[in-house]
Amino acid sequence: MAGAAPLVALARRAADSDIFYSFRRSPMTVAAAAMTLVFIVGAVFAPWLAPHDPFESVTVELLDAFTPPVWDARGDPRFLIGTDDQGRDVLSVIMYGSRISLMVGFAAVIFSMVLGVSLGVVSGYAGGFTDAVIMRLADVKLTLPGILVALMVDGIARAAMPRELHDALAIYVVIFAIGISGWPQYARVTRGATMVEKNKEYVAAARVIGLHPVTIMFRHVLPNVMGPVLVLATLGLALAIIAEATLSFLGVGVPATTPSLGTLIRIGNSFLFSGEWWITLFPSLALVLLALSVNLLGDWLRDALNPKLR
Amino acid sequence: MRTKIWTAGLVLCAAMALAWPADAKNVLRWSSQGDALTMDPYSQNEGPTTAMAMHVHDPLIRRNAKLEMIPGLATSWKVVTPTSWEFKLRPGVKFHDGTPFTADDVVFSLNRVKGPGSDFKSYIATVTEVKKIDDTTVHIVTAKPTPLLAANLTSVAIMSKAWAEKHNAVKAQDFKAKEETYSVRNAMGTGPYVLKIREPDVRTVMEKNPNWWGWDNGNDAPDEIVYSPVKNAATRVAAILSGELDFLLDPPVQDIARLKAAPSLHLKETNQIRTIFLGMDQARSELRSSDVKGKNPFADKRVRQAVYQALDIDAIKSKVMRGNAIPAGMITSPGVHGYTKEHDTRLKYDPAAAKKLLADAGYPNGFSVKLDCPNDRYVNDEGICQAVVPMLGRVGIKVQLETQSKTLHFPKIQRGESDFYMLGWGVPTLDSHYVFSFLGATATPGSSSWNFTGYSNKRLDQLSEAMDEELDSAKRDVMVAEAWVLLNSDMPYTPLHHQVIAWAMSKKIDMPIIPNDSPQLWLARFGK
Amino acid sequence: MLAYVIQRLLQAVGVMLAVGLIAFAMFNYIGDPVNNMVGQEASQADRAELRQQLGLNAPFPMQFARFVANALSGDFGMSLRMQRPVAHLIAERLPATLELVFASAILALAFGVPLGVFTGIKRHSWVSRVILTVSLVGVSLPTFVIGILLIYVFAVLLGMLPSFGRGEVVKLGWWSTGLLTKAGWLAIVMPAITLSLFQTTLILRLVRAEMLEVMRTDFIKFARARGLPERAINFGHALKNTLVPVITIVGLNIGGLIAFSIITETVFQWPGLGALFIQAVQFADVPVMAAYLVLVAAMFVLVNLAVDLLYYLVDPRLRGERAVAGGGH
Repeated sequence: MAGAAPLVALARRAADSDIFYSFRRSPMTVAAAAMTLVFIVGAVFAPWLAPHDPFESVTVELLDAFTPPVWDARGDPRFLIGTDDQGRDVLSVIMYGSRISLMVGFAAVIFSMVLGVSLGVVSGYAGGFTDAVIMRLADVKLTLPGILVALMVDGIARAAMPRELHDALAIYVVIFAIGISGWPQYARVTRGATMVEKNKEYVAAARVIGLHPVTIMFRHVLPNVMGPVLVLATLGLALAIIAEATLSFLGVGVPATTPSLGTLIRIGNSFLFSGEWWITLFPSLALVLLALSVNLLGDWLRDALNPKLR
Repeated sequence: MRTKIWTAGLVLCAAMALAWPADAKNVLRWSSQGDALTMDPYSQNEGPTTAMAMHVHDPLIRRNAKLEMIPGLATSWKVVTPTSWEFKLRPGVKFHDGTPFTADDVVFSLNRVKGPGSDFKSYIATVTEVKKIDDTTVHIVTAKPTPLLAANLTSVAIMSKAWAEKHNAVKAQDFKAKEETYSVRNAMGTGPYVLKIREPDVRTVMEKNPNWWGWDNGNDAPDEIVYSPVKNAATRVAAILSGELDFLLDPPVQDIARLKAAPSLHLKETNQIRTIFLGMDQARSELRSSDVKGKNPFADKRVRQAVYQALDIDAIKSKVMRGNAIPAGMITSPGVHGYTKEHDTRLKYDPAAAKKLLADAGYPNGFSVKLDCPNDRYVNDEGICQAVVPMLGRVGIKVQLETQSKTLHFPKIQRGESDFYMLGWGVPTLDSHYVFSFLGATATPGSSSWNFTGYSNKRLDQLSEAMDEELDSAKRDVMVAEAWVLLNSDMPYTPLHHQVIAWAMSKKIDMPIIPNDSPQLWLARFGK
Repeated sequence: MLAYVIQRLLQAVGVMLAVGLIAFAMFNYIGDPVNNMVGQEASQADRAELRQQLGLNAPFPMQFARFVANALSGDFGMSLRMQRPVAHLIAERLPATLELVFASAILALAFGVPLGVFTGIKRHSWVSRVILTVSLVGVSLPTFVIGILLIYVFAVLLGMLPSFGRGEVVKLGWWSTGLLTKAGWLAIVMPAITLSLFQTTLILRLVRAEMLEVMRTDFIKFARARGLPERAINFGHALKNTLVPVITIVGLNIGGLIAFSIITETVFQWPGLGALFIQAVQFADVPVMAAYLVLVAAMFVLVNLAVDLLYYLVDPRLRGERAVAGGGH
């Protein structure tokens, strides 16, 4: 594991340093971290924590549909924040929905991070033609706004694959569609750092002892770019979660059988004017809270890791 | 410099003044979810497209607000021999461009319908020849007796021969044309409204044709009709609530209560001629999407009945449809010839009985199957299917649901690739034969059948064919009744409900609601 | 100078060719174009003839060359759904999108720059902290949620603004504008605000960051030491120095506005390019999708190029090594 050692080192450095101090000093950041943690725990352990299993046909009753939250006179104590149009507990669907949203978000960020960092190292190390090609590719990518690329990728996948296959792969298509937009930023950061490291002596030394220079580069470049990459990744997570919700809202995201937060908002949106506001409001709130918390964390991280601003 | 600015300002003001509409006209602004697909009246047999065409064009025979046949461009018609009809045409009618309407236009139009690119061929499939006798008389010859010819002609708009020839639109659609066909965005007929502006998906503006032959005190009819499709249902509702629209064709069921309560609106409801049901493939040796291998559960009538009795249609009616549906016991609606209350009696909801039927059929633990549904065709289609899944789950049938747009759903079931699907059926001819011929009779390769269940009953096939040619209405009614008994007892389909439609309109106007959901805006009247 | 310009131009052409290749691949390999044009009943002979007519039997480079030539002359074929030339559809929809994007860009600048300057100068004031936090909410609110909320409040509850469309439009030649009528102005308010929110926060944060950087530089410290009034330092020196990167980013983000207008146009039923595109995606109308892709890329590349050249003129020391589109911040 090439990445583990620097991670541990970074963690140790972080705990010792005044980053941790600045974290404790900012109540907003602590709150954001707590909120993010609540979401992650709620999502990961949804099958055990959720009050109902919204996808188990034996327990879902259509006649429970449109029950308002408990504080309404028509509410039902079984459903804390009401039920949706199918009689499913809104709180439980949100927990299961966050699971999808977070999974897509994390996977997309990891995908673009791995891709971007690798291309950045290769680009910075190889230089010349390879570098030019990769950086021009990044330019092409930056030419096209992310959401547009995501829509295109999804549209092409839809047109090119048979329906069954597309349904089975939908979630991976979405991860790919969102992830593919993010890599150039990681690549630029890593490329710069690599170019600095490239001519140092240890690289030549590594070559002498028979290690491939790129392997060595990863090990040494990674700690240097860890900060900016972490900031990019955190902000990217919020963007990815919103992008997924947007695709689902436009009806081209994950299939409705595994609803994400965006899907829930799209479905609930039809009931906004008829008075059943809780079906769309709570998933919207959840989405905004999640994105806001992650953004706050990213924002703090950026300031904390930028020595000039401290 | 300063004068320049002043001039610019003045020009701007003048432009704004010109652009401000004078409020003297009665403008009817309306909306629904999708636009007409084309202005060519024959290239797409689709409800909203035809509804739009029938404002610009006239058919030979129209339907009034109660869907009774009334004279259109033909003032009278009669059967001369069993295979020949005579139509007397309305004299003195002029097209919007001022040219007179004659028998030549009828001959041209019907031939265009039968020609390449037309999507309306099936309406006049038996017609072999259209003869001009004189300027106001046309004979239509059919290959075999076709009692429903008059009813079918209500769906066929009449175009101008001279106009089509002048604009190179003689064929319904010419796919080799490098440029768009003129008739896709332009239309010119004899109808109550003249097409002024056509911006697909944005707006379609029509102006009153004061010389229309059919005006019955049309002074308060809309002077101008503006149609703007709005895809998002919530936006449409917001628009009519805020007074940006005068008429909404398809308010979502969940908003009907709210629209009813709005002081500026009134809401009209009626039973639509459309029934929603589920079809089951019972002919294949093995279902594609099931865990049962080597045999087809749906081939056993007990399984089909179990599906039927497992569905709590009242719960669907109250929760999914908010009361705007009539639970159905047959797959056609009140208003269609052959419908009776007796045929329309539903088997009762009984999950225990359904479980027992499944066990008797050899599936005590149920089985799995995939259900295909559209999500933008019928009222709350997706919601109905989502509700069906747990209901069937409770008797042991594990349903995997696949919902998609009608543009994908219909081709899929038409290719025969679905084991279990939702379909809705309307009856433009208002006669049961339409149902039997499309949904009951055995599907033969190459036919336009919509029977994708593989259901086949020789007796029903005979009845369907016989009633098509039977001119004695009493004898025919007996056949229709027998056919319904057969179809109901064989249960190839599980009926769900008859759709109820609601139209929301501003209190400024009054307009009858039409049970085929196809508005006749020339019947709208602005109040004082 | 000339070498630099030529290099940039060549790069732009390269990028456009790459995008063109993607569009061409979509056009020709996703679904058989012949199948898209003829009905089920067309005979094999008809198909073969059409194939020949369309030049689909030619070798790949020939086909691509023809595609590029056609695209340059504005010919993207026929929309499969509407049976109309794609170029006409795009020409009809372009004014709506450009007006919306333009209005949003102005809004974003009008709010983003002053707020950014303020939060940059009064770094530690609680007002700045509130503004920054609120701006984060702006980033975290998905566009469609903002749109829905605005419609609910201003169209349904208050009945002040129209919920869809462009209102009344006036034709000026081939251009159609909504900016000459009252109904048109009312109609653009909510979509423009919705579209501008994200950009406003972006500009705000960027201006703030640039201000902070500049305030730390020696020449500001020097100015302060000379006893220049605070106003003159903030607006005369600091802001002036931050504006170049800000204008760059705003220019580049016009592409982002065009992309996000897809969502805004869907929510408000704004009859622009984005609405056209999303319907093309839903109906797999490949020629429209391909043309839209090329068009957006072309706008982006043009803006990019213009910004590059401007940069060069403003500051000859910069030899192209500048951060692009929000990177680094």
